[in-house]
Amino acid sequence: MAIKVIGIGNENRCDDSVGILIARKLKEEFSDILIVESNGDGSALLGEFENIDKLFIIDAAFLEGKQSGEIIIFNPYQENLSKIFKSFSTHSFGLSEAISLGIIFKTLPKSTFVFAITGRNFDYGNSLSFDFAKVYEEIKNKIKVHLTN
Amino acid sequence: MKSKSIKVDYLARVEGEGSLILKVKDGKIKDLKFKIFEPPRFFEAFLVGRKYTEAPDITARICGICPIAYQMSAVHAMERIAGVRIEGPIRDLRRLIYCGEWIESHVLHIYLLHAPDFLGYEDAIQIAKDYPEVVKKALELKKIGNDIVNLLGGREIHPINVRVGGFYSIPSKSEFLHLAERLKWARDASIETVRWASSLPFPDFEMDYEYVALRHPEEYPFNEGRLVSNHGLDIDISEFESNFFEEHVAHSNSLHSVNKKGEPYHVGPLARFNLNFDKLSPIAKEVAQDVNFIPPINNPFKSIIARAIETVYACDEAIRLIETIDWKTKPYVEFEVKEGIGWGCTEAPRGILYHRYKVNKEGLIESAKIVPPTAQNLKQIESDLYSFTTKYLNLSKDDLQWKLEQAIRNYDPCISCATHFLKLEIVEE
Repeated sequence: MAIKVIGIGNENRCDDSVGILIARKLKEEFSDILIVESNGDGSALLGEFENIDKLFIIDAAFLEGKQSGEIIIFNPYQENLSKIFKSFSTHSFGLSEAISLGIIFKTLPKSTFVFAITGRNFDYGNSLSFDFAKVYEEIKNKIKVHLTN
Repeated sequence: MKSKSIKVDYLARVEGEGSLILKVKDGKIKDLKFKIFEPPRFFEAFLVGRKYTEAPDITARICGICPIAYQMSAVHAMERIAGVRIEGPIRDLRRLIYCGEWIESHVLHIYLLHAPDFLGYEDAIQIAKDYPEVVKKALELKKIGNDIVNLLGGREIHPINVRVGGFYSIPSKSEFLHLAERLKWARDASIETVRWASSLPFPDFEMDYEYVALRHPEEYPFNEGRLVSNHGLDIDISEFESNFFEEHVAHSNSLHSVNKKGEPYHVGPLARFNLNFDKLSPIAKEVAQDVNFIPPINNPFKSIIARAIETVYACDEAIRLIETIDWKTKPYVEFEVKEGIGWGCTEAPRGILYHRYKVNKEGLIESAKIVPPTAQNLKQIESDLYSFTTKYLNLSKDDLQWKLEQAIRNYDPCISCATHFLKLEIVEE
């Protein structure tokens, strides 16, 4: 079974870096999973969906009413992600657009889990507004659970 | 309808943040503004005090869609200061990476951003629901452009392999051979794109433009040439600032450029095509003739066809370059830093991108000026909107709004590029 994790983010935009940071740390612990980093470019993301059986996407999001660092898991086949992952990528073609096209093209794995980590500060910089170690452990454990199911 | 008010708070399918305001009263336009509220980004100030070698990497950060254009204008300016002229394989490699940028940028705009306007869809995702193969083809085409930039530039977005004097390293020919095969498919797909684009419904609308673009005696322009226009302009790029001027306007965080007469001018694919049709490769020229797309073309809505023809050209030129470049060349030319002023002007996907730097004897940048294509087109965009509204005032509000947004996207405006500037005035007491 081909399993992939895509960590999305911008290293220089505080909380937005969390997807990238988690991908890097997962790489150190999981040698049998494909783990890639992405800047969120939609067309590049589409290529990452192909020939994968189980896909985990990790990205920061601004989620109303949630605490900083709180993780919400979305099933892109059941929920419209366009309001959650508002596109900040060039020319408005980012994660939600890539997922929509992946569903239309039938390339998005049926087992796709989108982990949205609530961010509060997306300004320039390298600091995080939440405890990274705690968020990382939670994400790692959730991925493990999904891998065994 | 004699009175109407159109307000588009946030323009979709453009890069950056802009809005449109139109007020019509008693059949006359009372207010029309293409507002740019993307914040200023201060890049010209960032450059002051930095080494001349840093300019390509710093300025590339202005835009994720056309970083190569910024790198190329910067390196040419710095090389001009040093009195160095880059020829041979390195020059060819610069054209090759520019081909990649044109392909990815043009295809993104044609299919994902502009096509929905012509086909009556909200966005490309809605098109994909009805025509998945069309959007799949577009994404595969775009990916080939990305792959050229990735291979030669080190990464797709904000590439890191371009330096003053050449490249930090050059990949082997074998790494590019598989791309040459895919480019042959891309060239055919682009030819189909030209035929498809030319069949789209275009509003009956023409403007008497001053088109401005680079012109080179031997090739369709990417990096070099004189600045020419269909109104008789023919200047060295060092004369740019005595022929074109930037103005502040209250409703825009981007400057507006004008010519010597204070009038707007038009840069980009339509300008390049009209001024350089004879320099297209035989295949690109033939497909343009097949669809009867021959200069002068003055309907801005047909810029989508010009972009498609330039995509054919970029694929064709990339194939030629991959086959003929001496890949074993030294990646860069070394030279001594010199004090002085240098200019660079290259053809970004959206039009001419002008850089001017002053460098001191230590190689530190003392001043920088950057004039991106979107800033040069903004006044022309407003002029188009005014003329279009005047002609089509009888359209329903919804139809007019749709067409006006489409008219803005004719220029594929990159608002992030246009707001890079800083005008700083310090008063000492």
